[in-house]
Amino acid sequence: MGALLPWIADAFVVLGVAVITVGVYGMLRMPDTYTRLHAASKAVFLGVISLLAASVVTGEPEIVFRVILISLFLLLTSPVSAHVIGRAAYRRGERMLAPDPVDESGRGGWGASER
Amino acid sequence: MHETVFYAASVWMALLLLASVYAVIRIPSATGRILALDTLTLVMVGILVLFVDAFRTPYFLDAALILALLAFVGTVAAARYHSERRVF
Repeated sequence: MGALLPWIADAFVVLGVAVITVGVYGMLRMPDTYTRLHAASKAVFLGVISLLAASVVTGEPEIVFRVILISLFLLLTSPVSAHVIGRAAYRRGERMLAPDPVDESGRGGWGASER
Repeated sequence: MHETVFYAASVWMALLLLASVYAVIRIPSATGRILALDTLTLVMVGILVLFVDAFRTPYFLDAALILALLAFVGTVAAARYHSERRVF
């Protein structure tokens, strides 16, 4: 089991880097802020959590407690910052540029019709 | 083998950092740029966490925690100022 632990850490590192890659690519690829939020806020956060899990495998307590602290902090703040960004885009009236958007806000006029 | 994984992951994360900088520059809307800056800081936090795993020292995690905190405060302040012209 002791010889297996560095391989588990490597697996977490590769998984985290892959997930962060998906998130950054989605942020570059998506057309507007509302769809960019899906890629950037969730995928990058989960990739960083996976990298933190790779550090937990070392087993030293001063690393493990800091990792728990950072994980809880990111778990609390990542949805808040994503919500604030989405709210800012909504309040500024940014258009949805996704292929077939549905605006359920009832404002009307800034959905897909003018694209 | 483990060193190879660490070096490859470091180089790849540096490339992702460059891609995030490209996103900050090229995304047309201001909210998208705020989101790209938030993502860039999270990628930097990921690089610091990689260094923790490689060098077996916990001190990079302090920098990572403070960077995450500054990114959160900056993102909330920028987004709220962009939407409402005031922060609080």
